[in-house]
Amino acid sequence: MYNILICDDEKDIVSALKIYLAAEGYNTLCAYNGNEALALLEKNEIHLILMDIMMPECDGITALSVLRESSNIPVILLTAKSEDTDKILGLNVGADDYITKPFNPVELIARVRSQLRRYIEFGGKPTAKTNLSIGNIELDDNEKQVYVDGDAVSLTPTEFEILKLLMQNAGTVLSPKEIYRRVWNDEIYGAENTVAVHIRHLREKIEINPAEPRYLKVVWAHGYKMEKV
Amino acid sequence: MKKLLGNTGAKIIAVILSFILSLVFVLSAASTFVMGYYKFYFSNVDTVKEEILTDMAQSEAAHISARLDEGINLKRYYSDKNIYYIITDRFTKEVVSSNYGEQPYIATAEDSHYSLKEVERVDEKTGETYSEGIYEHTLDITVFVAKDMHYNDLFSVTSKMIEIGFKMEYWVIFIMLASFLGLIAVICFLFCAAGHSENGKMKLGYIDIIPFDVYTFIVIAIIGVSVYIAHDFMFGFVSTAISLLIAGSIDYFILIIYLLSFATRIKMGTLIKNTLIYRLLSILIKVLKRIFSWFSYIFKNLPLIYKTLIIIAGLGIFDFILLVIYMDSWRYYGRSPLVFIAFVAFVIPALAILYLAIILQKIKIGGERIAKGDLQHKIDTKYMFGDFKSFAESLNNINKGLATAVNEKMKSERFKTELITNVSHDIKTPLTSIINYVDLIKKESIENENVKEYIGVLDRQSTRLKKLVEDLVEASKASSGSLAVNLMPCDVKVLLSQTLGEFEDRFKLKNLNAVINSPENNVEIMADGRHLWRIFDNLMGNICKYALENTRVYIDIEELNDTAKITFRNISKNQLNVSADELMERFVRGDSSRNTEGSGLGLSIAKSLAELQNGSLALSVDGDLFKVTITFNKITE
Repeated sequence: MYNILICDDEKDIVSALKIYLAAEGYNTLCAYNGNEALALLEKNEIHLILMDIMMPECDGITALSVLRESSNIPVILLTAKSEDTDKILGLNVGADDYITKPFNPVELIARVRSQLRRYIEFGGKPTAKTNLSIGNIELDDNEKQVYVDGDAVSLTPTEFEILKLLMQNAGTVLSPKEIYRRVWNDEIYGAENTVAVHIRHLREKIEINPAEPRYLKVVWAHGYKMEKV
Repeated sequence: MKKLLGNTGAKIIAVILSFILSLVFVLSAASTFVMGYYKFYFSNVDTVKEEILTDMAQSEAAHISARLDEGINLKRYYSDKNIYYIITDRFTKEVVSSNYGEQPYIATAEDSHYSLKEVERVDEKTGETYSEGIYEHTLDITVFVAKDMHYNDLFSVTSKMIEIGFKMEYWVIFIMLASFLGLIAVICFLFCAAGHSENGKMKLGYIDIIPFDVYTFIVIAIIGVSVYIAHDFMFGFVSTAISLLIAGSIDYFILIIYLLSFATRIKMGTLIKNTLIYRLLSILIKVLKRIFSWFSYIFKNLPLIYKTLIIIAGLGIFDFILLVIYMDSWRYYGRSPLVFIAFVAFVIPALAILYLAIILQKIKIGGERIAKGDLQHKIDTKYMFGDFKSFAESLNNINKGLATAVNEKMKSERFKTELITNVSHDIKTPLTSIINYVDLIKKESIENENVKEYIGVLDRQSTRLKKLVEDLVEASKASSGSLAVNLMPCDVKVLLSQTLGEFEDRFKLKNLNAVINSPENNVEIMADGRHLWRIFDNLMGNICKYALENTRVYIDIEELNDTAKITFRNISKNQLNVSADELMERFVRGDSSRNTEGSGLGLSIAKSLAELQNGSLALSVDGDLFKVTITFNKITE
């Protein structure tokens, strides 16, 4: 049983979130501004916080920065602000993830689960049997197996090779031409779209929201890269 | 007539004819003049003859006097002449006369011969001769021209000529006039014919190419030389006549050719242009113009102050020269305060002009900077006065007004974007609840089919509302330019392959077939990859939404001189009743029923984004063919 603190000034949203999280078997605590959240946090054992940014009295960013002075529990920001600058600010202050409003409940649950698993089950320690790991994604070259949040994901051999190549070169942008050359061992001539199609499939398998990938990023007009976390 | 004008033979004949006619005219005119002089037309033969022969006799008497000095035997000299004479010694009354005593004569003349003679006397006692003294010795000479001329000499020829002259006296006038008219006619013909060639066109001959002034000089030189040479041969009646005739004819031909060339040149308009002086002058003018334009170019591009300085320096040098001249002339009359006054009168206006130039320069630079859009610039009016100051202040005010207007405009744009962003935030919060509770209702077990259908509508429309709000924010940001744009080299071909990869499934779903035409090499443009993707995403999304199923979609990448052009072409599913311009407007959509997903902002966003990245986006609708063209500047190494 994990305790999740929901903090939003909009009571309807809090109730909806309560329903979704309860359905997944989580205990929920509710706060309606930053100060209340901080007060609850002191009294209770909390495993994860879902926090809105725009709130009266004490907003999410302020509460987060106060909280981060003493705690390292996962915090997912819920925000109606969809601008890049808002996301970057939130992540820099200490958020572990962010979800923009209006959100997809399924995606929200997946992100909650992902953060909890990472925080509690793995504790950030790399597992012995894997030999490549980025964020919640682990790749075992011997078993030819990929785990996302600890769950095995079935990839085709080509997808596996592409993911391996990108993880080995995490942080660098690889052009479709380069990827094709190194995975297929051939020149790309006439098969430009193949790489893009495989990457899209790969993204759909390992990303919670393929339209807004966290790990496998598309660098438009240049290529693809695995984010270095 | 035209044919004749062009005929070379006719011209040569005309030249010769003109020569003959002018010869005849000169001769007849000369005879008329001579006859007129001797009054042929006012008296009879005998009177004229007497007059002329008396003149001749007079000169003959002078000749006799000369011959007496030379000691020529007069008797023998005049044996074959129609002349006889009587010489009487005034002192001794001794008479010497020619052989044929008293004869009738038609003309007579007298002259005297003076000489000094020593009179000798023989002394009767001693028989010695002694000089009695020197006396003046005078001989009176009387010359008669015989009436009946037996010999052929100047007198008989003259008298015959006079007789002929009287017979011809009116004919000569007639010949003179006729030859004159003929000459004019021929010369007119020649002048008309000048320059006409055989084929009837105007043409310059070889002579007409020689510069006219050079030609004139040559002609004058030739005529001068010929006259000089002819002058050397003028030592007798016959040789004079021959030399005059030869020199005259040569000069005549040279002159007539010269005049004909003159006529040709006038006709062709080359008289002035084809002269050495004109050519030299035109070269000189060209060189001067070049130098002048060079100087004026330099002058034009100099700052106002330097221009003024140059003018003042020029004036100063001029003044200085004048001053030196003045001082030189004043040296003899003592220095004058005038020199000092002149100097001051120069320096004060020069300083004033320089000051004005500095003010004008300041105003000019200020005006230019304002025109270029430097809204912060303020002209310093501290040292200005009067109209200049008020003008500069007006410029400053204009700039201030402009700056305010621009600021207002920017403020209002920012405010608009901010408003839209804030409103969208406020909309998003209730929207979240709507979407979530609709989702929750969907999970409840509902038996009523109507309720299920209504919930479906709510679900669909709330999702659309979400999309609309997101697009609205993006559209307002893109069009107001408050979007961060990070331009870097982007490969269009890579982006297209990525886009096609993303849309592969949706294309398959509608059975759309993408046909790509792109050059072999990389096509690199300066753009922000994410924004460029958004453009491609919107366009491809539109194609998925509005393209007719089972058709081909053409995507071309073309390289022009320094731009890259990307064209998307597809066949529309619905009939396009709106124009391309209307489609670009916000909230206008390809289907008038507005039933399909989408906000109607996609094209507007794409266009704004393209413009943000210094590119352009154009639409065209041709029947059911829908075409979007994106143009970006290519990166050139």
